[in-house]
Amino acid sequence: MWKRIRSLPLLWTVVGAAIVLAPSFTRGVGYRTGYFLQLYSLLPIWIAAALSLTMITGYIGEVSLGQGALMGVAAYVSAVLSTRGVPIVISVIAALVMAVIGAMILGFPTLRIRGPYFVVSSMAFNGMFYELALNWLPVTGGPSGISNVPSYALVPFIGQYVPWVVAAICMLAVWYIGQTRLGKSMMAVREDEMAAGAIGLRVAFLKSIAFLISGLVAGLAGVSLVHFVGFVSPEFYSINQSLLLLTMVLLGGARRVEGAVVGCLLMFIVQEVLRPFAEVQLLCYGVVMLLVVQFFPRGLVSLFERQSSQ
Amino acid sequence: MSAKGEWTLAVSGVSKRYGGVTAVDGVDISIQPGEIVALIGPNGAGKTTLFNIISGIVRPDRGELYLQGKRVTGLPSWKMAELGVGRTFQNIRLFADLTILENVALARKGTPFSRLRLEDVKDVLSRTGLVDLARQRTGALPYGLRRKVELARALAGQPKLILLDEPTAGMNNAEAGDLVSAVRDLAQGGISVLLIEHSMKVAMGAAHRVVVMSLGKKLVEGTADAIRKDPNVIQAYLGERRAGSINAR
Repeated sequence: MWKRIRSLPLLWTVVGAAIVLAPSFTRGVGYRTGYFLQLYSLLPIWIAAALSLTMITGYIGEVSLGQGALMGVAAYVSAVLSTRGVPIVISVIAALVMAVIGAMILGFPTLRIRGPYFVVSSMAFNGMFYELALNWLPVTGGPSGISNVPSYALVPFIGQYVPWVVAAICMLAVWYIGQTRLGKSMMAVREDEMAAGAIGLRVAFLKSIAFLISGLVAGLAGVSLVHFVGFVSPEFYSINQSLLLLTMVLLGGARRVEGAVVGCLLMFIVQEVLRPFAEVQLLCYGVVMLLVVQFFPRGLVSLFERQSSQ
Repeated sequence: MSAKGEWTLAVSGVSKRYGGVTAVDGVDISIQPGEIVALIGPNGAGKTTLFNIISGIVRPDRGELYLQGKRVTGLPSWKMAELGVGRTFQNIRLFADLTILENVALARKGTPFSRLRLEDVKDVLSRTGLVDLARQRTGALPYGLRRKVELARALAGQPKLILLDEPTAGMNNAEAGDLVSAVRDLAQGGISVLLIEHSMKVAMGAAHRVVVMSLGKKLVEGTADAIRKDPNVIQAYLGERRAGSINAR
């Protein structure tokens, strides 16, 4: 046991310590503390959201622009229920169930169509969700959304770590699946659907499982977000968020868990740097995306992959 | 191995149309355990479509398939694989980003949360001489090796019937010879082999029986010698003028 702990890479220890200690440091600095703490807790939420796309784009090989809507389904369900007196535990469970159901609906077309056709259908899914959130006034509150959602953000000490725990669970789960026969079977489907079927892999079943897990992960991200910021509005879960998630995942590398983490981190930095220039933000995402796809089609983490695995 | 005289595969009156083209038109083929049957015919004869029908990738419009006496018409490809139909593809379809080990091990049954271990498929890998390369990604392998991996992957599913779509394409004579003896070994072990082959030498040399297809129909079937002398075959396959060359190739 001790040997295993000792053999943990130094990097992880440093990263772990930095994550745990960061809030105290920003507090000590005393400069825009609240803002930094907010970023600190939002980063893991977006990491979890990006991991939901790793399952689909990285493992099963479909590009989805509907992940924002999956987060949104979970966020709205939990917001609606918890503001109407339902205990948070139950509202969160209901939210996750609905996110999974949403993911199955999102993924259903992939049993028939692939590639660009699915991209379009996933965009449509996100669009439908957005319109529903915007127009179903009695339930969703329309454009102004729902506020006063119970929040854990201000729970002393524990609050700021909740998103990190959620992200860690998602990272471990997605990484672990990628190591198993289940994950490798999904990758086989990504590489060649026909050959996967011909060796006895149930393509439709594997796709459904991938979307199910993706829905669960996106749902976790969604409830972490809504119960952190304490309100929900349609803009949070529009197609733009789905695009941002895709940019993160492609930037870092869709096929590896580290890719989602690196991509999120970089996009967070880019976003902060570009914050004064909101108009050019989307343009910059586009340029970043083009450069990555052109020069590092497997994302930035591919630069660090061992040559022997080539 | 099944009882003597029982067919591993029986295809009866199978047809498949694509728009106005009848790719396969009322074909019957049966293969016994341990038998090697070569499927030959000019391009567009429907050989690959027939393979796709037998492996469950394409659903036939008419006709029936029986595997060891059990009706299997219209079953999906994963089910056909599970029932013991393994195959390779004309243009090699490996999982390029996965290793040789992963490619081969995925074809063998296992629990979803297990890892793919070398021990599980060592038998197939050592038989095909791939053990030392097991951790290599298949996308970067040379052509000949990729063919080998595809064969190993098909064998890992422990098939009763194996379909080989032009297994010697791109191989030199020595490699083709090795493949022929490998195929014979499989048949000796009771596996039925159906192969599409463009090299007459391989088809005639390896197969117990040859089936000739042309324009979706089964033209004739018989032993290599009978086929070689059949005037219909010579005409359909090579054209009358070049009839003399069939023995030369």
